[in-house]
Amino acid sequence: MRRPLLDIEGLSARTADGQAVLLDVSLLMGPGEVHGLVGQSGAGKTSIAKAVLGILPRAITLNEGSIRFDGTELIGAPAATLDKLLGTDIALIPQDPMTALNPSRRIGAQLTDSLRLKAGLSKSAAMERARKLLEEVHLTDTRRILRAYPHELSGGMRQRVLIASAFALNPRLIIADEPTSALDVTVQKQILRLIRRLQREHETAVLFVTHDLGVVAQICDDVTVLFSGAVVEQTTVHHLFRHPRHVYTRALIASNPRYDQPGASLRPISDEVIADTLQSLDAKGAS
Amino acid sequence: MVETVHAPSQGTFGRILREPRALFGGLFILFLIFCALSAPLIAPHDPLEQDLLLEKIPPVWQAGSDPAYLLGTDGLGRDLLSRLIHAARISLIVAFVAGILACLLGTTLGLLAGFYGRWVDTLISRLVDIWMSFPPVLLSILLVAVLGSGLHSVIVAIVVIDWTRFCRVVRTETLAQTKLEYVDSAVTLGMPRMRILFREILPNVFPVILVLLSLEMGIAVIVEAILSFVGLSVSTDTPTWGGMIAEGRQVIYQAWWVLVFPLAALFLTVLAFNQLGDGLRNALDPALRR
Repeated sequence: MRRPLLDIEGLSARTADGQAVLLDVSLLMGPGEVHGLVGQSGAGKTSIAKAVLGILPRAITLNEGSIRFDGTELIGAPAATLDKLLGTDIALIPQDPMTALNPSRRIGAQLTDSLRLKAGLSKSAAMERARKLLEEVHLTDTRRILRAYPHELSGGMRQRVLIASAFALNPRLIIADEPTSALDVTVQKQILRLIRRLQREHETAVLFVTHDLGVVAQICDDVTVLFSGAVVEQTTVHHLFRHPRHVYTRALIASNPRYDQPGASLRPISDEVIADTLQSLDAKGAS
Repeated sequence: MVETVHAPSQGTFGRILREPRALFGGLFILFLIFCALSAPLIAPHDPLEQDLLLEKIPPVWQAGSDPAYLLGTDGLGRDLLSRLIHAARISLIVAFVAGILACLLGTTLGLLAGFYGRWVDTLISRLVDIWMSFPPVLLSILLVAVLGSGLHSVIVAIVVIDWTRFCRVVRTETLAQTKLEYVDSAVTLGMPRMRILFREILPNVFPVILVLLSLEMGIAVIVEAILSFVGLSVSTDTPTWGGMIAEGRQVIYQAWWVLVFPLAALFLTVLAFNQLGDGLRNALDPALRR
């Protein structure tokens, strides 16, 4: 493998009352790769994403491990180093397009923030660039959108604006934190395709957080399955669906709704599997 | 692409105009401001001119009135209407100056507490707790007694007591805003913290501040009236509503109007500020929550 772009090693985090959030999580991503982080709610997917961006909630503290971006350690790095990397080299596509845009600022102002702050463009140049960015994410009527407030746009349009914003400075790594979870299914598909296309064009690495294995199959190269803050399985997408090794992964795949079998009932992950998984994690922790 | 931008909703100003209470409150306060500014021109008499031969003349619609004195005269023969108009000046100065200063102080501390959390929040919040456990009226009387009476002391007393109202609400609101994803987005753009606080969060807290400010102005008017009533505000040769109420109390059995008119002016002014505040809340809130 080439020099990894993102190298997470032995990352552990816990809440203020001592509950483990992440347990010895390691993850390697090369440039231009799409890496999926899957798991049920509370598995620690979003915590990993937030740890990379340095926006973990105050109640959670990282107590072990390292996060290196292109060789630079991010944990405990001086604020100046982080501020330089964030926005330019690392960007975020947030989860909820409804709250991720500031309701009291116009789209144009928000979209040009990073262009003016980081790329040092003038106001008019930044606006022109923002207009092109909106065209790149298939938005029409861009001049009106730039003048609009977020509540005047639909959820799908807002997510496109946020994607445009993430790709604005052509970052090397994008953290996509469940970017499609808050959208309805038809829009989801368009947004996924859009992210995939832009990712290929710009050769951007994407850390893709999702609970939807269907999404993983469509977009990811590698995948990490998380359970209760620990890595259960880490492999390529191809392997994951053909030869899932861990019982939990198998149960997770089986629990996915099948559109080709209408009427089939959903198969929830059984308590047995969860107990087995916990046991296997304990065994790993003990070794 | 079939999606388009929704038709822009009517502006904030339009929504305020459609809110009857905000409109009533706002118009009444504009009327008061007009009276206060042009008091020497529109007042029919000198508010201080005494004429003991003309004392306690009833308002024009009562028997024994004098058409030159629309609302009658007080126990020293001074024209009530002129005094009411002149007294609006003190009330409004106190309302705006004390209200805005309390707002600036409380908002700044509230923003810092809500945004930075940790020890900053602990420090400011405990201070507010301690502050609010003093009885406000007694504290204001105490403060003015220490500072000496006068307009400045009244304003200082109101600011010192009432900044906590802003601080508490703004802190809570800032805390709620800080948890929203747009703040995370701003952080991940590498935006400086102060810029995030004042450029991203403050505009979203602003409607709440505006509502509070309006309510606070009503409270400031009342506090000033209380201090005037007990003689701790401006000197007695400047007419104030509180002072007029105190004078009216002494002649209540002979001349009810000396008490009732300043009381009504006070009542309507505070009502107008409160209605403006409630109206603003209705007009501004949906824009935020949508």
